[in-house]
Amino acid sequence: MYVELHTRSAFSFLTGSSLPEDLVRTCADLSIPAIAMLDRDNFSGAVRFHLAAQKSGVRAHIGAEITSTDGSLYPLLAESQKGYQNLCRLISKIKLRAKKGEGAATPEDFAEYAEGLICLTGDEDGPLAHALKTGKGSECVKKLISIFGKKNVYAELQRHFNREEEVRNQEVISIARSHGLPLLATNGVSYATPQARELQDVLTCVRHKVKIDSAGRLLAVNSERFVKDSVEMARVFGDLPEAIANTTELSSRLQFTLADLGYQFPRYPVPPGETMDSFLRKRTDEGARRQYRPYSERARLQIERELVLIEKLELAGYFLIVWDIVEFCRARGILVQGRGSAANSAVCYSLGITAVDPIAMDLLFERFLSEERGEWPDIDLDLPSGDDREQAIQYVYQRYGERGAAMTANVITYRGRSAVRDIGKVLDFGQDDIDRLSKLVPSWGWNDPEETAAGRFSEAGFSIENPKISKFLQLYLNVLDLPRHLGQHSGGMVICQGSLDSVVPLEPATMPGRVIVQWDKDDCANVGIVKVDLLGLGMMAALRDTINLIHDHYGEDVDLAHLPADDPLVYQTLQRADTIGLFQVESRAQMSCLPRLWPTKFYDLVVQVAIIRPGPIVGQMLNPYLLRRQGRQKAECLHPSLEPVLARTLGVPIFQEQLLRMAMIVSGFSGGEAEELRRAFGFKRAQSRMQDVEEKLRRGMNKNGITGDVQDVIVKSITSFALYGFPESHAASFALIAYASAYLKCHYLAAFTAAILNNQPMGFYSSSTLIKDAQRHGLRFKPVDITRSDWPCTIEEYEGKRWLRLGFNYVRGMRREPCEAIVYERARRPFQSIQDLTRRVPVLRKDELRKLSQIGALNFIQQESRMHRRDALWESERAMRKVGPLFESMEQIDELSPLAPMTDDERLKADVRGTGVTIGKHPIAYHRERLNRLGVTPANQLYALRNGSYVRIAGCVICRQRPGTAKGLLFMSIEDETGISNAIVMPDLFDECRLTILGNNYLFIEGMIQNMEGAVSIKANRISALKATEVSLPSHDFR
Amino acid sequence: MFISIHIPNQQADCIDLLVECANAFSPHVEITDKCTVVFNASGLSTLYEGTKQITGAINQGLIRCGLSVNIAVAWNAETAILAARNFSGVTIISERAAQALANIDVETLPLAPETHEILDNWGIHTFKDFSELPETGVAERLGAGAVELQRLARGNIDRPLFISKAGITYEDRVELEDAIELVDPLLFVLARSLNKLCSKLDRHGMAAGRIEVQLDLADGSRHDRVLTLPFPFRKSSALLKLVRLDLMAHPPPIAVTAVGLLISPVPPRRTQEGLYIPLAPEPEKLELTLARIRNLVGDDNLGVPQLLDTYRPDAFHLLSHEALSRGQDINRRVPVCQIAFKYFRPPRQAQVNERGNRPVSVRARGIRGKVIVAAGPWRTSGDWWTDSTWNRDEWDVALSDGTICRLYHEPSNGWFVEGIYD
Repeated sequence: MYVELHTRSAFSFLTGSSLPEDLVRTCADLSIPAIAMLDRDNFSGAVRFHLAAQKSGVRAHIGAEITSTDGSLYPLLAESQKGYQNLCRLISKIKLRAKKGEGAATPEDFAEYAEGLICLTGDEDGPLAHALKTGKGSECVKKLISIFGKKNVYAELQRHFNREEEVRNQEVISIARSHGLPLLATNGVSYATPQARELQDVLTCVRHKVKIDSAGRLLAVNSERFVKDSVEMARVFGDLPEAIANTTELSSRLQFTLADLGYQFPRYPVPPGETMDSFLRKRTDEGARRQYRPYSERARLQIERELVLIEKLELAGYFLIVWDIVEFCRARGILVQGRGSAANSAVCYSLGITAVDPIAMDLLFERFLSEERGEWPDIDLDLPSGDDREQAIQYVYQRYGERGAAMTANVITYRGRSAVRDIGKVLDFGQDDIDRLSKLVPSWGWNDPEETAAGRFSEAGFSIENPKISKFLQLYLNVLDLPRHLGQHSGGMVICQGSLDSVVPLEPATMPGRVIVQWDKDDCANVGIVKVDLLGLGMMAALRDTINLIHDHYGEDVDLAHLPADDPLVYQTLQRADTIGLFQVESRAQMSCLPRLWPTKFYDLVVQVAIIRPGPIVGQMLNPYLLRRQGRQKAECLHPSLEPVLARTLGVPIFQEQLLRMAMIVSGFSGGEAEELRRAFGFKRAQSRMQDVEEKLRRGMNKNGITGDVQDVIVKSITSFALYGFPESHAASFALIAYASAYLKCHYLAAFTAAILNNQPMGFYSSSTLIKDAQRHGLRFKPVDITRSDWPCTIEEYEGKRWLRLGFNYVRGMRREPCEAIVYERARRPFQSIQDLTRRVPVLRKDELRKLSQIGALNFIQQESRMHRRDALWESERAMRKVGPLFESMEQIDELSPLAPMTDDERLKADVRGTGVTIGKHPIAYHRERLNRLGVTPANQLYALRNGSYVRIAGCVICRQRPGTAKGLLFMSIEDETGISNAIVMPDLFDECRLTILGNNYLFIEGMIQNMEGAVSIKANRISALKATEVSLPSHDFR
Repeated sequence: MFISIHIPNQQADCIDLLVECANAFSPHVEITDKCTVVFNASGLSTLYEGTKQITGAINQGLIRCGLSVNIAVAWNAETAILAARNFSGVTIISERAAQALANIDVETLPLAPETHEILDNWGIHTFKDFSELPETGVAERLGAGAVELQRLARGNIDRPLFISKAGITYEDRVELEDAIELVDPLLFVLARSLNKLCSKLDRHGMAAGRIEVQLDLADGSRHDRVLTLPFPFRKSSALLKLVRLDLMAHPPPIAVTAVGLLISPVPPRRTQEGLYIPLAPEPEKLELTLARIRNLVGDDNLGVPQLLDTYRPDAFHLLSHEALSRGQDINRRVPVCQIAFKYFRPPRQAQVNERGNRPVSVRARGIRGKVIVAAGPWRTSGDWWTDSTWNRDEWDVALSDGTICRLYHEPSNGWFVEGIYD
């Protein structure tokens, strides 16, 4: 029997070309009982390897190839938990002291962490092969024995039918015999099957940044590094049977698996006399009395039930640690709100972690925590993006130590364009060809199912018959989803009792001051490492800024937790779909749904947030729900037994919790089993897992007498939206933020607009659209002005009205430093002239001064007289030229600028080029007369037209979308000075007018009006380019 | 009075025609750029009646050559050039140059991109806009260079022409009274031309870097041969031998009616012999020897073998003598095996009996025996992305007659003996 003990996977990053799952599956197919994976200086693939092996019944040995300072690679295997911990620490040590992607271990490092490790002498990159080149093989073996101990060193032999390798093998055998070392056969596997060698060669070229034609002997000599079965290996090592026998002997010594990780979540320090459970109980009780007024029996019972389970699962520490982070944020005035399934927990609500009352909303606790699932709960905290979130992250680092907390990794895999780029370069395609091929990669939401890769290639002029192209296509398909490198997850943090570096290797992130673990968030969850997501949310930052601006300019203090509920203005706004800038309900799809859903209470908003998701849309839940809401369809449940679950969503399943409850009722699933179902459908890597769960679901329904069509409908509704459906708790958390944003926009428009403009990019629309929308709501704007503006946009009051002053942050290419210097100097003494400005703010660069002049920011610098923009440009050029020390202090004689003022169009161009926005007239307004003559209807008059009327609209395209759920339809939003109109383009018209639609910023559209309960759109019949201005405003396209 | 001729749309390679045309009117011609010339036409008033007649004569000449040009006449060279570049057809600017140039786009002025951007920001788009700006203001903001350009825009710059000189050519052509069919008589003609050109090269201190032999054939076609020389040559005898060898290898297909010879001049080779440096053959002699060998074996079979950086067995290519002399890096792969190996070229097809996938007996031309010991297979494969993918297993075998040879097996071609170990 043979065990493969030296394998590299694709997680060696460009050194192996098969995923761990493929390697394990091949082992299982070949009846190899165990396999060891030794990726280069990392364990990034270890969890996937472990899980795949567990599933296939193959034993997974963990190890790594460690780069030594002499350039060789030491293959090390973890014999015990101690060995694994040492290997983690060794990798962490060498990674953390070097730059990202570098690092090597010294002999002293190996000696320090040798306990529990088995060392192989390695292949051509191993320490022994290196030493043999200089005739020091024997010394090398002595050194290895002194570091790892004689019984822990194996003389490794690989046979890939290579003369040089065999010469080396004979030397290794001789040295091993003289030192009494056991021989060990391995195949130095780099891929699962021989076919993957081609991809391996390509990845080698990517690693060395060479083209394949010039890669020469960097490429593999043959295709022998695949997983070979026992018979083949026994034949290859027929003269050395002990080398094969030793593989099973060594495998039996390797007792460590990732199931034995030794991870402990940190204990929360509690006062003397308290346990974590008792402390949590007290904090929860305090919180519950504050949150629940009255503290009902139902709430008390639910909290008790949760606390008992938390105690049983020993999770009190986890809740206290998250509570501690939330308290830290509260103490510093940082907005924080839990999202996701945590909002299903009354304990989380009581502790202030979440803002949604799960009892009032009747949310399912099992979605958050279940005894059967045996995994840690997942609490995600939304924080304002930027500094506030960084403060919270740094607090966690400080609190649990540099080796006690780290961010989770994000494995960057080959995706369409990166794959095209890398493979195209390696195969020596020209840049033009690479660009054309990149464009073939589906980047839009929708793909024609009839379209094949070969068809797309032919359309673009690449013949699939051409061997180079067909090889490209084959390699492209093979490389997809292979890991490319390790990045940093946006907010996931893992925390450990003691040192995290003994659980998983740590390495530096690209961002200074950040450390990441080598596992991604799924890996951490799969091996039971607790993760807290500290996510940055632009809208949270905008809400925080809005509250501060309200305090400063309205003299009011707004508390988000106590906003008036069911504010009529908010619901009128939502019903009109007047939602530009609002959280989660501003997209084109949301806006077209709002008038039909007609929200009148908070729960409607929760449904609204959840319903425009691919799951409910694909599962065809949207229209039935809207029809039932309008009373045009009877609200029937799929089965009478589902009445209690589906009644409040009118018999239509919309939330994930409903999916779980449905499974529990119709198939008798336990809470844990139901959650397992959700994960199966949300787990894209396992088709078979989905089938298993579906069968289980059907078996359960058969048992309960639910069969035939009803069963099929229930299965379809559960499975279709499981992947992309929102949990009700999550939707509720988001709905709270959406409500808050709507409330603040309705009542404090200036503050809210300033805040969202200061937190761009965020949301669906560009700043330009946000400004035009605010102007239509009556807010007036002031331009950037050197005598008034600050870095952010601010509020100014004139004649009892609030105006929004654009900040320097909107001046393109402007740095913050000179702006702060301007504000400082201007506070000391007003600027007298542009020359005075350049003298007192020397950090201001030429291009910045020009930009300020161009956008009119210097028009008011001379108190006695107003300049026009070209006067300022004329003066700026002189002020910027150095005159030498002799004349520096001499005031220059004023001469009148000979330049003519800018025209309207020039000003518009200068504004858009200089700031990306215009606070003047909308570009279309300048052409209204012409458009009127052409019979164009302004956007705000479309609502009055009856369904089926033929109309013409024209304007600036601000959004083009082709969602995957819309079968090839293209949706466009067209903005004019009166508002936004929506156009729908059928696939054939899109194909016909593709260049016009994609290549023009201003369009003229004719078509039939569709007015569905207030949701107005135009079904386009003809589309042409509109000649308006060269100025193009940004459009939200295909995102 | 200055006349500028400009070819719009950058019809390349026509500058010679322009210069030729301009030279027909004046010896003082400036080649302003590859599409524009300007010349002083002051003296033409005695030959032509007015400017229109001059421009008409120029235009007619160039139209006959198939060129469509812009012609401009002005009182200074720069104005003439600007007008020729920007106005199509014939433009005559007698007075008020500024007015004539007023609508030209300011982009055409040779300004730095930053200055163009500044002018664009100022709303300055034409020569008129630019020339109306106050000079002091422009000087303060854009520097003295911009003021100069402002004067240019006003048509106020007077400057002398930069007269271009024609280059020396090494060219000779002989029209034959009777067509020549054989190479040897042709060489007499070529020898005369070569002697003439080589002595001209000698006089100018130059040598030949490249020779172009242009033979007009009896049927009206041409037979051209180009010899790129590895070293600068000046000896006509050596050059004649090279030409002879080349013409023998590539003779004209039919009789020759005219012989042209064009030599590209290069500076001669200057080398210092070292006392301890072994004497190499004279370059001329070496080149002649190589030319003779090339005649025998063909162009593609002469050179210095260079091992390729690949695992493909015995892969090499021939590096040309010229590349070698340029010092191109030759990658020398050090063989691991130190035993001498004698390659059979081409490898010998073999019949091999196998047992358990191992060779047990071999039969090939000159080699026959039972396999006593076999080491292998040594497996290589590669170039999978090309049409010349290879995949083979090698065996080192000791035969019963004491021969140690290397066999290889390719799935598509069968067994071969590649050579023997010495």
